[in-house]
Amino acid sequence: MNSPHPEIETISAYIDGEVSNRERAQVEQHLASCASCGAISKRMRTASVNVAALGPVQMTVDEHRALRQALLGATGAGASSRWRLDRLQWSLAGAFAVLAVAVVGFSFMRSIPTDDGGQESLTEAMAPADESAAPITIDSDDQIPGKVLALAEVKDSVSVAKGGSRSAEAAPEAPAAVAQPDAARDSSAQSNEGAETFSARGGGNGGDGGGAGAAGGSAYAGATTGGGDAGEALLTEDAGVRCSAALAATQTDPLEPIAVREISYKGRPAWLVVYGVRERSGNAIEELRAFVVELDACATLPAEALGSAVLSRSTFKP
Amino acid sequence: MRDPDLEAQSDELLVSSFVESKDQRALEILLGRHESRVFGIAYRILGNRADALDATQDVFLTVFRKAGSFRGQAAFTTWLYRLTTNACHDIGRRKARTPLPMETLPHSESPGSGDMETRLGVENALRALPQDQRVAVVMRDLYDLDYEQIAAATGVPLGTVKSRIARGRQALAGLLDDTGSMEPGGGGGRLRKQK
Repeated sequence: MNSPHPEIETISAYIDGEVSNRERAQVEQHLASCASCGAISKRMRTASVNVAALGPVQMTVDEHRALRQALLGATGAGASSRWRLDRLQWSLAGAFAVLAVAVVGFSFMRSIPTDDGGQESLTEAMAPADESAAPITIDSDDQIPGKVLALAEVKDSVSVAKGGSRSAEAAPEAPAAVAQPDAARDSSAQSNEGAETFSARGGGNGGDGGGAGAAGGSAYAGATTGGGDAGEALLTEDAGVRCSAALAATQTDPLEPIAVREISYKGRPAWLVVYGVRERSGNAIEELRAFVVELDACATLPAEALGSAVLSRSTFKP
Repeated sequence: MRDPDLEAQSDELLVSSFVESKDQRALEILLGRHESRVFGIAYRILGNRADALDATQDVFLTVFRKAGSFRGQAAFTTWLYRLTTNACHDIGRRKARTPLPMETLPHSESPGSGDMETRLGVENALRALPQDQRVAVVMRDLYDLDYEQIAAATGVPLGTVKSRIARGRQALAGLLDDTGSMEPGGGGGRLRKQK
């Protein structure tokens, strides 16, 4: 009559039919005579039923498509790169969407629009004039005109001279591309012949990131086209994923990361991230935006993930 | 191009087809069969769709890359669930210091699954569980895995699975009222404590 109370684990397993015949008989006998255990059993069963009633979660059409696209050809050469670049885009999109604070007025950004004769390299335009210069520091929101502002409308004005890649000069020791430049091939295929991929790196850890990518696939790869004279890690995957994991992606524009630079924002480490919005045809970047992403708010990033200056690949219509 | 013969094959044979003949259609079929389930489990574990999608990508990329290492000692789904819990664990660990507010709207589409308030309450109660318990409860109650499958998927002994499910349910019961519904006007997130 007064059998010992079964453990809650046993009651729970009994609900699931995960007990032996002997245990089942014991539990049933006990529950028939013990109101408190009966109540426990009932509440646990209710909890179980309520969870079950949530039903399966369905993927949306967009999610389904995104997954397919991301994994498309994943078993073939270059798939890794495509996937990683997609992830990078998502990661940055998430970061931008939630933590973005627009920044304008950086001298190196003001130089982006170019005159026809100059054909300034976008990469050069965006890079600080002196890579050894003092780091960018933002001490006050007064320096930031708005929450999220387009940095510059550069439609039809972003033009890049062939051979403008700074990476060959800036980082002659840059390692070979660490992943297949699948995405670059895709984008260059959309571009006019002669389009140039530009990449550059500052004094930071591009090489380190490349090494990491080569070794363990932990870095997003810089991509090269044409002469293949440059290829270097951009953001490490870890950093990008950390941002992504911390943030919900709500940005829907087709983003293309252009540059990332470590800065100080109100005394806290941050990224100044510049990305481009590609025009519908996919041939050219029609708008640049820049954001400060606060790393503390994003996640704790390993120092090696930050990079002191990283400029990404991109292909522009000449 | 659809291939009825291929589509009729078991998961394990599809993996073999890919490993032996590099038939990518086999992987596409596997993806089609399991992506929603992987996504769903990941969503329930991680609490938001972006992370769930990330985890799903991780899982299938690993499947694609490591299909050759799958030897068929266990069911393909066991391996898949293991990858899913690992991926969720990795993502959860990365964002542990900066938890985001969870999504407040459920995305289940099963009919007749209760009123919105109750659903939100149950979802929030689930999210309040420690991840280990949440994984076990989700796999058991939502995806109908048995204890052995959950043990294989999570890499813990059967007794631990038993304990996690029981404690998870106990915690849920403490967050839900006696009928399993939520306190009215709780904003979908405030749950009545069990007396």
